[in-house]
Parts: sequence; C-alpha cells; structure tokens
Amino acid sequence: MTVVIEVVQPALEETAVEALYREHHPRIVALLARIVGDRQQAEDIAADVFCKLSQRPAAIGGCDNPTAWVYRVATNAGLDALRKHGRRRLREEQAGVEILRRAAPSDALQTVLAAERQACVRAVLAGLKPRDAQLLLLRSSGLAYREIAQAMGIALPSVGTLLARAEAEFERKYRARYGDAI
Amino acid sequence: MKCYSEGDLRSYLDRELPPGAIAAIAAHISGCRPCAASLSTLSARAQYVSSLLGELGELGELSGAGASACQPALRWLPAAALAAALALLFILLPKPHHPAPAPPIPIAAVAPATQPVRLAAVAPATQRARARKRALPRKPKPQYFLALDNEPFEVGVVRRVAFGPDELPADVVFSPDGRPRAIRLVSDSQN
Repeated sequence: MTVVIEVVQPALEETAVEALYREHHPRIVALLARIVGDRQQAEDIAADVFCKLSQRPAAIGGCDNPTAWVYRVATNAGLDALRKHGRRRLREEQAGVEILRRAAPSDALQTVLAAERQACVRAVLAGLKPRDAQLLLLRSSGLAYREIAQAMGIALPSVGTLLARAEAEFERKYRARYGDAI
Repeated sequence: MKCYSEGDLRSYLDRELPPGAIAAIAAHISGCRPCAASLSTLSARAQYVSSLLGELGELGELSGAGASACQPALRWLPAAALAAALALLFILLPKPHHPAPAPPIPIAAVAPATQPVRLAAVAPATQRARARKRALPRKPKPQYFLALDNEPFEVGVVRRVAFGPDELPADVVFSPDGRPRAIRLVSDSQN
C-alpha cells in the first residue's frame, strides 16, 4: 500500500509575499536608489531581497510587521552595497559621465554639484554605525516610529532618543568632513 | 519642574507622542529655558539632516502608504522650529516686574485729538507747505482738573457730563474702579 503525502505550501504565506511585493517593491527600490545612488543597482538589490523572501516565506510568518522586516533587510543590503567603495565609485563615475552627456550645458554645473552633494551624504552615511544609518534612512523614507521600532527590534520609547543621537552623529561627521556647506 | 529628555523632545518634534504628552511638553517648554533651547537645537539639527538626506532624491516614489506616517512630521518641522524659536525668544526677553496695566487713556490727549486741521483743497506750493507745517502735531496744552480726593491715580477715562441744575458741561475723570476722581468745567472754547 502506498501512501501519498502531498505537501502544500500555505496559501496565506504566498499571498503575503505577493502582497508585500506589489505594495512595497516600488518604494523599496526608491529607498535603495537613495542609498546606493544607482537605479539599476537598487533594482538588483530589491530583487534579491524579495527573492530571499519568496524562498523563505516563513521568515515573515513570525513577524508582527512584515513590511518593517522587508524595509530592514533592504536597508541593510543597501548599506552593505554602499560600503563597497570600489564598485560604487566606478559606477558613480560612469553614471556621472553619462548624466553630464545628457544634461544641457546650463544645467551641467548644477548637475555636478547635486551629484557631489549626494556623494558626500552617502559617504557620511557609510561611515556611521549601521544602526544609526539605518535609523536615519528608515525615518527619512517615511516609516513611523512604531514601524521603525519593529523593523529594528528596539523599544518604541527609544526611537526618539536613538534618532536624536543618530542625527547628532550625522551632523558632526558631515561638518567635520565638509564644513558648513550644504 | 521636571525637564524632558532629548528623546522626548525629539519625539515631540515629530508629534510621535500621545496627545496628552504633546500638550504637557508644549506647556513645559513655554516656561523652561533649557528645554526650549534643547528643542530649538534638535529642531535645527533635524532640519539640517533632513535637507541633506533630501539631496538623495527619489522621495516622490515614497509617498505611498508606508510613507504617509512621516510626511506630516516633516511638515511639522518648520512650524515646530518656529514655535521653539518663539518660545525661546519669549523666555529670553526681559519681563516687566509688574503685570501690565490696562491700556491707559492719556487724559491730555483727549481734547486735542478732536480738533480737526483743515487744509485747502487746491493751493499753491507755498501754501501747501504752510498747510503741511500747520498739520504737524502740536504739543498738547496741559489741562487742569480739580481732584475730588487725595488718593493718587495714574490712568482714567474722561467723560463729558451735564453738571448742576443749569446742566453745565463738565469733564469727569473716572479711575479704572469706576469712581469719579477729578472734574473740570468746560468752557465754550473747549467744546
């Protein structure tokens, strides 16, 4: 006698991952693009995050807020990519040359200055403690304190304190490296 | 008076506290100079960092459901900074030792203000210059009242009344508590 055991993937988890992808993929890509400064690289990282999630849908099963989980994983992946200076610098240089080729002559200076400011901000972010950088990025990307607390695994009343410290550290490092210019 | 921590003030800036706590902190910083200064510093720093992170762009695509929680807070930052600055300014300004009295009504200014200065509708330049000279405010003449008691007072209201059986016009000065304090009879030239 043969017993056939059918293993069925829980439909709820599949749906949760798909819903997360549909609702948050564009925003995750935008967040990652802000971190790494390269749209294509952001798309790649976001694809990796959702790919891992789809392979292990149970990872979000025990999580109270799957959205926060995805933001945390994506932010960590983006910061890791940002710290790989060699690749990032090469891509930025290539992207900068390409932008200058496309820009009108009158916009060229503004484009270069904006790209320079972005590179400065990213360099300071990369030099922060991972938790500080993640906190600043999640907050600036629109997460409420409650979502930040869940994403980072910290107590809700601590978010204000940690955010204030992270901002102080960011300001101190930015001014130390680049002075008062914004 | 208990001062608030940096974390509480930072949460207050983002309005990420219960309404009761927000009201309590707002009431506290209006009378606490160190907390108002801390709030001002935190607000300026938050704006500085926010503007730098804003350089990274792509915020337009983050305006969905997940981003909605932050946008009101970002809009609060300039208002909160202004409120903190005003609170700090209010605290730092020297305060009078006595409570400010009700707006005084200067007695001497009452009568001259009712006297109009007439100017010619069309006049040569020299006459207009003379008329402008006449139109300049003149120092009011002192007006003397008869005190009705010996108690001094600083401000009062002048009211025109009819005095006596002949209903002579008279000006009576009433102090803020409603008591008549001084009187003068009004001649025809003072009408």
